Amino acid sequence: MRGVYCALRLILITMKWIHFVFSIIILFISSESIAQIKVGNDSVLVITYELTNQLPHFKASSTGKLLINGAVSYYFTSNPSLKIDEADKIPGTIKYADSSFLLFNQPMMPHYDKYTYFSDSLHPMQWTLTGKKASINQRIGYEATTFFRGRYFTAFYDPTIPFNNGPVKFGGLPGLIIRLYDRDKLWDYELKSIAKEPKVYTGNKIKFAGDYKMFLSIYPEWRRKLEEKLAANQSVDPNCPTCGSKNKHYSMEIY
Amino acid sequence: MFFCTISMLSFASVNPVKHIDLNVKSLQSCTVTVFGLYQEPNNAGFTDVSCTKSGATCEEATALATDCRNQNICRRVFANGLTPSPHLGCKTDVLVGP
Repeated sequence: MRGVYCALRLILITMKWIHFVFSIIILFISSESIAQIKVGNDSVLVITYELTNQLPHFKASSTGKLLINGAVSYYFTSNPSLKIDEADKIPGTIKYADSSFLLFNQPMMPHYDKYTYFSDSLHPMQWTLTGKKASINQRIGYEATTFFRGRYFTAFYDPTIPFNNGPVKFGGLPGLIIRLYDRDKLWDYELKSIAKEPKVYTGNKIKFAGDYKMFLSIYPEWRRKLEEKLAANQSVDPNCPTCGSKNKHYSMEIY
Repeated sequence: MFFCTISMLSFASVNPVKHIDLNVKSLQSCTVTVFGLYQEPNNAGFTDVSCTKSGATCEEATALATDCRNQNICRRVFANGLTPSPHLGCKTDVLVGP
């Protein structure tokens, strides 16, 4: 009787050990995908998006890059065909994950140069999670929608990528944004790749010009004057009434 | 970033004189649109800088429309305090700011 009891106890202990070992293995496997995109101190995570701008008469494509360096992230739009020497080194948006704000670049010549930044709330949009799913670039994206400063946006996020980040000012969802577009498809971002790269970019010169309220008190009038002056400068051919240039400006945020 | 495609429309106009055998020289013209899109530095705005121009030949119209599109980009680049690429051929008197 005592032998049977000992045998059963041995089996029970063995089963507990097997369960423990399997639990460790399962935990390791499930965290592997996340572990793969963790980066060390000497490297950064580079998330590449393809941006399509769809206009009524043509569409254009470009590449955007979200560079995550610890708690700070930088969003750049690559400009290879234009080859503006310094444009690629000045991020359009800088987010600070351990704070409640972000910085966005907005030069306004002649008084505010290319290093001018204003602050805004970190992820200043209110999302509605719809529960819908879609396959995007071999990933499962979960839909979220928002009405942000005059435009309707739809985002798809991947909860298996543990970054509440996305292109330009967008983020704040329980996973990385893998697709984002507005209702008119003037902006349509889609995730292309995620890669770990050596840390080369260490930041740029920043001239802080004020908060979002300050921005709103300066920018709309500057833009209005700029468009007015640019329109006056454009030559019109009297023999060709359809000639000239449209030069219509599209802003993601409607002021 | 700018994106460029060219669409061409050419037409010929012939003097409509009938029953008289004249050696009529046709007047030919060509209209070209060069499309372009300029991304603002904040990555959250862009401008359609496309241009349409006409010329006696399609080559001339293309050159005029391309230069018009490039100068539109130049003005925006300067307004943002950036340095344009030499291949744009920016004229020095273009607008810097309002």
